[in-house]
Amino acid sequence: MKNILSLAGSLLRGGGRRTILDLSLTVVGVAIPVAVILLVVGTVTGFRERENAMAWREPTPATAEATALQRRSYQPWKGRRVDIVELRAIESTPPVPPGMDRFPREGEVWVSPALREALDEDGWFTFEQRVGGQIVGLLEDEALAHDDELVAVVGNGSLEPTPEDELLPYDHRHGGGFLPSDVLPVSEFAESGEDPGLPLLYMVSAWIAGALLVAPSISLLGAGARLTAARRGRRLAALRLAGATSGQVTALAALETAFGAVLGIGLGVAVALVGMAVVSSRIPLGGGRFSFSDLLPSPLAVSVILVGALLVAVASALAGLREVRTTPLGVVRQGRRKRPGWRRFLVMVVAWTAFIATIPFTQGTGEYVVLVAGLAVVILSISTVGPVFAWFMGWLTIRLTRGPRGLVAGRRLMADPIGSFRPTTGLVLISFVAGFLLLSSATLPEVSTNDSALVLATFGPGDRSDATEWRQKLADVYPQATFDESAHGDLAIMLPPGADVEAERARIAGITGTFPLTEAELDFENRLFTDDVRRAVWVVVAIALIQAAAATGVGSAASVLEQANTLAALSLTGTPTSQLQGARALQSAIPITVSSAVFVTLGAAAGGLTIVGIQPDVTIVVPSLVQAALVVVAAAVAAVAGTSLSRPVLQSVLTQPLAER
Amino acid sequence: MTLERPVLIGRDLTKRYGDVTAIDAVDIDVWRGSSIALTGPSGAGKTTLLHVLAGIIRPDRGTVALDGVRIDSASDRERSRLRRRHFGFVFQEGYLVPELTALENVALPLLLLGNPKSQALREAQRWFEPFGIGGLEHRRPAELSGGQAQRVAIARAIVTGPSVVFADEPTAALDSETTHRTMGLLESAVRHANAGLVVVTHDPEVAARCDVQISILDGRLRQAA
Repeated sequence: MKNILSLAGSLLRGGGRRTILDLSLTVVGVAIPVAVILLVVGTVTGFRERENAMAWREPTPATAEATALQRRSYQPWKGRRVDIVELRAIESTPPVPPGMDRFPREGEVWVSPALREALDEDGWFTFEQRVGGQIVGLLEDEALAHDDELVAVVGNGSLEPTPEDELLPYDHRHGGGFLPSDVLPVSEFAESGEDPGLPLLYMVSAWIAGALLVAPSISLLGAGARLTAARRGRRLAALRLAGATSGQVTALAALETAFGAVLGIGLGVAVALVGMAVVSSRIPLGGGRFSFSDLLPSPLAVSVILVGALLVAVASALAGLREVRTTPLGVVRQGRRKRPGWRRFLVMVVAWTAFIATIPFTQGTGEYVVLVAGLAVVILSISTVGPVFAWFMGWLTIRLTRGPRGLVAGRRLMADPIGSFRPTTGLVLISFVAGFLLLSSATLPEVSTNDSALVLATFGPGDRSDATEWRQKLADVYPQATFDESAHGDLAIMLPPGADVEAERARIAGITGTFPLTEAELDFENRLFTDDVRRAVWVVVAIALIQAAAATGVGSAASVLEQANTLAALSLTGTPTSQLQGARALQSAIPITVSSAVFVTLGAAAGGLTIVGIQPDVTIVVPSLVQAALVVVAAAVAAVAGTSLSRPVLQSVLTQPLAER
Repeated sequence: MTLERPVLIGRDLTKRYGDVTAIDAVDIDVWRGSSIALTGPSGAGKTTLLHVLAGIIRPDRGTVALDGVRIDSASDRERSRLRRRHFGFVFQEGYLVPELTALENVALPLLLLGNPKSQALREAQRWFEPFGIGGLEHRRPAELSGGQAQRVAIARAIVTGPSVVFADEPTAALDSETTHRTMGLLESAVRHANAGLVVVTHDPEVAARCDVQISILDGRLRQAA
């Protein structure tokens, strides 16, 4: 083993500039997916941390002797939502809420810093009137999920426990509407748990986005380790021919790859930390920005990711060595090229069948994990069927193009469809992702931004008597107002232009005893989620495009190094660099453009099926063709841009004397 | 009466790499229909002289003229164009494009010159039978023997009808029997095209087949026959 270590060290040290370039490509090829996976897991962790930070606000029935009563409700404030926690001590030692130094007395109100900022001078008075108390303190960070949260803790001496026969099931609050919780006796505040204020769709969406980004990342991780496999294979084959055993060659390859992978993992962690800093400082999700520490995955999760990345990288490199161990002479002669079989299409058919089968299961059981797993299988099948597309595109290119670029690009695609598709896997996957998101975000419900009407909600059909009663009472106060009664019995009062919504709200609540909301406020959850999904679509698409462009560049650079002598010889004979680079760009752009169009469509189909799986009664909205075309163009541009990243490596290869390569 | 003159003329050619003088005040003439062997130990300056004559690198001093036109002072782009149009190259390992078929490899220089694909493939096809590689048109380089690959490389060098063919150790990777056949083919192809041939070689037998043998030592011409 000592000799192997020493030999591996000599090979790395003595390899010169080419070995450094090879190693750099492996490092970058591993770093990008590691960074993406850490970011995805970090975002999911962030949502979980946020849920845990909010958990104390939801009353949890006392398991020991109850010491306090608690109710949670949401109230609107100028189009935003305030989380109100009302408390009343029923014993002398009630639990101290997080972020406060003591339990609130009757009439005392603690508010979050963001809420205090949102209350101007008049608003302060109106708000105090509304919640029935005086603001006496500020909530500390431990009480909040993020800095922008509007939260108030109110000491309410009039709370009485909800009678047992009137208790509502917990699930009724899912969806995070404005319906208050029951008043429950509590003995402590929960430290973790699900929160009805954070729609389940967020977690589902985070997992789906994760599956969409992580699956190509794992594929790229393996590709990163195999980037320079052919050249390394030839070098190790020479050692094998010189008498090295199969085990020694395997150990050398493992050591060499592990060295590059460890450097790549280190770089990936650094990039992920920068990414987390950007996400936490710039990108609001779920109504606010994450704190940096919320996005840090647990040490166990980080260890699993990093060790897993190392194992995948080494395993991929060793899988590429099979030929060296068995037929070293064949590797030295570069005699073998793999051609993808049509059986790969079967894999895709099986994957789609499995995915479609999860939909009725998910609809029946509500187990979204199964649906997401099915989706992940479909995504993974793309990299299996991709090479067949690449081969076919090569065949078509040769027949349709006239110049040398098309000929060389087409032949390269046909000669090595698996290798050609590998660096562009990410871009094809992003087409699928974009198609998926285009359809799912287009299908999101329309949200109202109307804040010129206050609606008295009856919380259910059949309460028309309420609406009629309210109408009579309000008609005297608002003789000029227009009333609009909805099919569900809700009563909308159109406010005159420029009316003070908060003042009118308080006035109407005083008359009817019911708190009215604007249409925009009633749609708060939908608006928040729709805005977040649109923002998240951009983030996911941008990350995937960067990842894919970088992978294309790294893969293309590796291919330049593999064929350095041939490219240099062509250049010496007068072949312009533009022709050589042009052939590479075509080689990437052709399969990408066509496959993107196909996979945008398939992605949209998967998006539609997923939505149907989650929400069976939704009306699917087909996205515009212009958006779909934009995705295809963006993918093609990223492919060409990614390939152009390899131009400096090509120039370096061409300016080096042939004998020195 | 028109006086014949060399197709390629090099005068006072000098090239230095740092403190090392790779070639030093070399004068050389290449004639159509004749061959020159450049021999000498490794590092003597043979390949540098070939690269200077082919316009791949510029000399520090001296001139190179192709059919009376200076090429040493031309731009990189112009010299690339001249190489495509007027020179052919054969390398030690052939350096065929591995993904292209043998036929496409031979047609590649014609395509680069802007010929239509069908015409380029038809023109390339003409060389396969005379070169003894008929039937191998659709094989890839990896499916060819060393000798077959080198014949394809020679066809690629000659297909555009070049003025001069440069061959850098064209037979170094071949056995003696194949070397003999390959050199015979290269000579006849060059004569047929009425081109000049410049061969860099370590092999005395290959050198002996050429019309002129030039030995280089420490960048200077030592002997001419």
